[in-house]
Amino acid sequence: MLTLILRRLLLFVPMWIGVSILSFVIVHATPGDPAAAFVGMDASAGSLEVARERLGLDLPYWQQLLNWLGGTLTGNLGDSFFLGRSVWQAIVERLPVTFSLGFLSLLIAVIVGIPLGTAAALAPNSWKDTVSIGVSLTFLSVPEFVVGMILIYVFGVELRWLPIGRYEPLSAGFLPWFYHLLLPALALGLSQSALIARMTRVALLQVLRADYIRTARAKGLPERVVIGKHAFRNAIITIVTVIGLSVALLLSGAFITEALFQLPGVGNLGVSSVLRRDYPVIQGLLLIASSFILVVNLLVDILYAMLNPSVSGR
Amino acid sequence: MLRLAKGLMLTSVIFTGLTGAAFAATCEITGGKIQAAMTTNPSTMDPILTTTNASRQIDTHLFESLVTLDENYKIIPQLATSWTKSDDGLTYTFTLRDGVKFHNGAMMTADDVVASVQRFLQFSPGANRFKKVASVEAVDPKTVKITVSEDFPLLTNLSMPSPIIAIMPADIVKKYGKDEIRGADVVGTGPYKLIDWQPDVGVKMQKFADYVPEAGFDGPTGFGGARTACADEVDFLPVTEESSRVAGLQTGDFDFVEALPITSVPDLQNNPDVKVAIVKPTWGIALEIDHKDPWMAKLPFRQALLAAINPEQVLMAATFGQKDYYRVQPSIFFPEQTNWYSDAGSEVYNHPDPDKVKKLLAEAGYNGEPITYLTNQNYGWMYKASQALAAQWQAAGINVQLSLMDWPSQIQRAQHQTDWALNQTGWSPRFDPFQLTDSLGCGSLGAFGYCNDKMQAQLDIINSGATDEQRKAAWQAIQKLVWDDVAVLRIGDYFQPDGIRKTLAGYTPFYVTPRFWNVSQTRK
Repeated sequence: MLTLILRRLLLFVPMWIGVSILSFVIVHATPGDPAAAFVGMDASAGSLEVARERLGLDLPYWQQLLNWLGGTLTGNLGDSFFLGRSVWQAIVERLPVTFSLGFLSLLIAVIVGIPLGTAAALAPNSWKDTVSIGVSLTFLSVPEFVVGMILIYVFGVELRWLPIGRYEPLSAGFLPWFYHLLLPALALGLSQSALIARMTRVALLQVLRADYIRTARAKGLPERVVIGKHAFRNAIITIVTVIGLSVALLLSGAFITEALFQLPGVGNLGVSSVLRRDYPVIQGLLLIASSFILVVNLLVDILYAMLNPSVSGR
Repeated sequence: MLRLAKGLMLTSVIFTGLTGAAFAATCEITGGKIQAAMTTNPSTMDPILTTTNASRQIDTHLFESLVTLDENYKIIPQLATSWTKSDDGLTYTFTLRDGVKFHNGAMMTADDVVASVQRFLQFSPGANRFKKVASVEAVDPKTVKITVSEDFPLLTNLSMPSPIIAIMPADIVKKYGKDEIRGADVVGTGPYKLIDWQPDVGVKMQKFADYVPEAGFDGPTGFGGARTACADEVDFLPVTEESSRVAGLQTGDFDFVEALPITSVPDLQNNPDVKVAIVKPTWGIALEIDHKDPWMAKLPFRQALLAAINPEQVLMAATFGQKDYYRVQPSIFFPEQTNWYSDAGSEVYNHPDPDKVKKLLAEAGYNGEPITYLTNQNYGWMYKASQALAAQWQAAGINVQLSLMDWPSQIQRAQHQTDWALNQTGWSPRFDPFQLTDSLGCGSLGAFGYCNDKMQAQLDIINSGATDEQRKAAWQAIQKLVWDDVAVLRIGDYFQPDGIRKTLAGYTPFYVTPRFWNVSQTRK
């Protein structure tokens, strides 16, 4: 187990350098001029030069790349062009929002997805199965922002039950926090629950066909134990993998959902930064997002090892 | 000998003209909070560093300048009460208002004005308009002298709201120099003061308790006049998703919403709690031409492009056919801008003529070579206008190819590359013809290779110390040349709908800049 973790951690170093270079190249290859975005449409050419100098864009590319690389290796991601703060600070400030949203959506996805998938698997080809597949197919095929807009319209504008966005920090109390996040978390969580439901159904169905389940039933174990202890334990590996994947998908879904619900999270920061060409922030986000996915994968591997001892030897 | 300059005469005009102002002179209610949902996030709180709409909208609440513009776009005093201009036109002497306090409690003096104007002249994107300014000096604590090397429309230039020549405390201005002023140092003299700016979350402004409305006016006008902060707090919130802005207006989360999608207007008009305001003028739909392009360099070809345009169809496409939101109109200045509006030379506008197009294309020797037309989807109305125009040109036998980009990339390609012929854009209302020098003057980046001696001669008059009548005549000549020479293509006007909750009392739209002074929050 320890070697597995160490091996994965070592992978971080080349990944960090690779992604640093890649993100710099991608960001600088995008057309558009941050200085022009900063000073506005009506600015003169001379003032653009002044702005470029202030933002450090007048330096040759290789020097900008070296500065960036040198910075990332020491954990300094530079300063944002537009936010009046360092990239770290800008991202760290917004993490609670994205984590809150991610956590709630994941919770919703799991709470809805696993029972839905289990119900379908236990009664294949019944009405429960049809409903479950129907619901998950719907949420899988409708994009999050459409679900979000429908939720805003129904619960925010027509029924007026829930606020249609904005973020209240947890420090303002659990209820305001929960209340403001419920709609965006539903928008994001429901589409993920569809994925989890489908995978749960498939995984459980496969396990339920196995000989040892028939044995368990034959020896007269109650169905609760057969499903809960024998079947689920073995299906859970697949389900955990999907939940791990979901975390990555949630992160990308957050880009749109946060903008729709005006949540000042990391996703919203990403969208705004791309639109205004805030190079340091885009680079920083790319780097941190890739590290995050690597960490999640590592955690999933560790979970595997804990759930299924035969993995840890590999 | 000094003679009394325009300023004093103008103020007297204002006093009599103000009686009909649409704005409430006093507050219906004081207190409360106004929440405004805006389309974009400002890039900085330093007023002199940017020309963007988002910054101007906020800065007009926080900052003031020596002079500003009234409801009819005429110059009025703001932090200066009066001024004189020497007979040779080279020395302006401004008398400053008494008892003006900064948000940090300090009193405004001539030193603050000198330091602020000097910083602007050194580091602002608007500085190039002031190349002829020789010196800015404090004569005494209440008097500032500006000397120019050659007579030019100094007052008009000083009154521009974007970037505003904000007067800030001298010690802060000197501390920052070319660096961006941030945080608690964002200090002005406006009716609201900055409390907090969180990028992408919002700008929080609070009523400035020590604000003294200008005594010379009996109410607000344009960007100035006697302004009063009625609400205790005003928040500008960037809400980039238009559907979120609409939903927030319906639920009452927002009191004001900038740029509603036109498709949502019919629905909102049936909502008893909401008012839809049409902002006139908002945008002039225009196409810039790359005059370095071999086809565009030929006058008959440009005339052929013009003769193929049916402006009304284009404007209908841009506005989903909603008549209230467009106007077929040829002038670069809008009909509301009575000073400068001119239809000179517009006989060629709105006369689609297929036979003429064929003749002109033959004259230019054109045989279906591709013509690249840059556009974007960031502004829906620009994109729809481009699609309609491209279709009209293709039908007329001109092989126009749309090249779709995002807005920042489009600007960059237009300014730095020559692989295009037509550039879709929207012109915000200009205040004075000197601002067109950037689009029509020889060697200007935004003129894209256009250079016509006759045009340049008239622009020189515009940028000189000529009288109002002479400048007016010069502008008429320029507007006529724009059509005769097809320097740019002006298509028509697009008006933006803004949404307002009816509980917001006293709101009047003006120049793409919501004004929340003298506006009351009557919602309990």
